[in-house]
Amino acid sequence: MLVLTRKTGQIINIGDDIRIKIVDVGNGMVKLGIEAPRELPIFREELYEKLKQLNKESAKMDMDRLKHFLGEQ
Amino acid sequence: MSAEQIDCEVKVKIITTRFGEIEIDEKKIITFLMGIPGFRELKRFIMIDHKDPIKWLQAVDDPDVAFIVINPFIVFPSYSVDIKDDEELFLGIKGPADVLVLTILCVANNIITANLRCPIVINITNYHAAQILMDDERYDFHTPMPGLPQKSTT
Repeated sequence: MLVLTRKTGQIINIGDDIRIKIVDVGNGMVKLGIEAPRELPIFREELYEKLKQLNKESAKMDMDRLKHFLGEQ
Repeated sequence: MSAEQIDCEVKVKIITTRFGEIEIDEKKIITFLMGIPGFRELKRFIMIDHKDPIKWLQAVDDPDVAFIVINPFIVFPSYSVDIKDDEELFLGIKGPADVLVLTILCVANNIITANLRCPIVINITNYHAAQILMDDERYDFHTPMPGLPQKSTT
């Protein structure tokens, strides 16, 4: 992993299309401003992982179980 | 024969685990431009009615993958979805009338929950769709479902 040191207000470019600005630092937190092409979704990793996991669980639902829950049996 | 009738439908056959082999109108295929999180390679889905208001969102390219979805506004009347400008642009959405919102349901530990944090947004004019992850912390990944409204027979 590439590790860079930056000051508040400074920017990192990834290629020509992605800019990450250090907006604010303090209290153990970093506030980032990100500019990227809109086809690149940007997520907080822990939330995105949670969503992927939940989708995998949700996609397993079988017909009998759904009918049971809806009181169709 | 009128011109409209010549505009024929292209039928596509798909194999599904839950519904067997089904034939659908190609125009009704919903395209998730980025796939669905967790299933990035699956971009094409179709909607299949279950029992109102429940629908299935079935993957065209994987027989096993189908989500149970619902129009969230029926069950959660105060729910609101914030679609960002870049997401609107990405899906080609020009106004609220273009949008259909669905929520994926999950059954775990004998409770049905709705993922209100991550609605599916479909542009019904071009059938482009995306599942969005909202910043809004009022809405949870696992929101317990109140009873489904019973369809009145009167």
